[in-house]
Amino acid sequence: MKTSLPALLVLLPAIASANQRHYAYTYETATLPMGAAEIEPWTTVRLMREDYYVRFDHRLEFEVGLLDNFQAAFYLNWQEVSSLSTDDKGTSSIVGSSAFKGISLELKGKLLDPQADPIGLGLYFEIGGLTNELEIEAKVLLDKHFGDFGVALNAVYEAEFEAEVESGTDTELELHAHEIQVDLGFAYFISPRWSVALELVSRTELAKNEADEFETEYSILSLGPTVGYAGERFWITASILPQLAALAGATGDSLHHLEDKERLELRLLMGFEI
Amino acid sequence: MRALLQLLVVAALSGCGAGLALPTEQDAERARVHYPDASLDGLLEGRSAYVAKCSGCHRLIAPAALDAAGWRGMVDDMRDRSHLTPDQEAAILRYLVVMSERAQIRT
Repeated sequence: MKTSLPALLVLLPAIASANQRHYAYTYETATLPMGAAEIEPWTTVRLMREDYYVRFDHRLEFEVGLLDNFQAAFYLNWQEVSSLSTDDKGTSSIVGSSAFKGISLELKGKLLDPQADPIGLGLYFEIGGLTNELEIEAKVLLDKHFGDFGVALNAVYEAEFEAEVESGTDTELELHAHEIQVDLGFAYFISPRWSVALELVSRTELAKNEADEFETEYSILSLGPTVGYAGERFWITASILPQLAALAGATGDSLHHLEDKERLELRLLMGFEI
Repeated sequence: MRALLQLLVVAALSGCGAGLALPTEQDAERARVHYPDASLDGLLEGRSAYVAKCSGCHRLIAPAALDAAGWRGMVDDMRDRSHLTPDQEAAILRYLVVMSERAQIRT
């Protein structure tokens, strides 16, 4: 049994963080308590496809606890891309572009807690898009804490729609791709402030071919480390996620799929209590 | 992947890592020495409130980690940030103090 004062002095500053994420890709079931809110800037850097390719995906998230086990979030999304472009004369140059990538709305509910119940269980739903695109994403979240260790598993389904011009000004949203993702994370909670994790991410995309039938575009596995730190009213999580191998859709003689996916991703997440 | 999921479920269902102490009728009886109106339902409500209000922002601290005075200081400090009502604060504190005392008795 610890004495009260020293234990309190150690624990108090360390627990004073908002909805800390111990993984960069894998979601835990935790939801903000009712009335609590935070802002989360995200940056994901995607590096190297077949040729030179650098992309920054930025998201600014405003998250609020609507009920004790139910939260909502609103995102603003931006993207910057630099890639190699070759003109008709065969001259290559790096071309950059930057674009607003729309808004997203997230709803997340926790049904079971990873520490208080035999297993943590949560459901996640996100809808987002631009004027001509729509994405719908659903996740089942499982997690569990074993003392200083944690494990989390997500099953994710995403449907991507694009606006198609039927005739004249008539348009309709058409499903053009499905993505199935499985995320698995193992974490070690070094202290109340620091954590490290290893994350395995599996992504499979089925897209419409010229015959208008869905076929597997790629199936890739990525694996990488994540480190997290919680301050008094903020937290930071950073991850490096190299593509390990393509199970389907490998590019040329490569082990990787590099037409639509990158060799390496870096992700930085931050959360600030407001 | 399937094997890992099975391992996770088996470990969870077998109680491995079950971290947060569940109060019993014995705890409620002992609690009535300090809190005459204490009940098992009240302690369970305190546990639920502790999970609902605190686990969203950080990992839950085991009741045994602090003694009664420590928990009073902790809950007092976190009250506003966790948006606790007076009833929730009282229920959480009572659960944590009673379960901390149980751990103290056992050691």
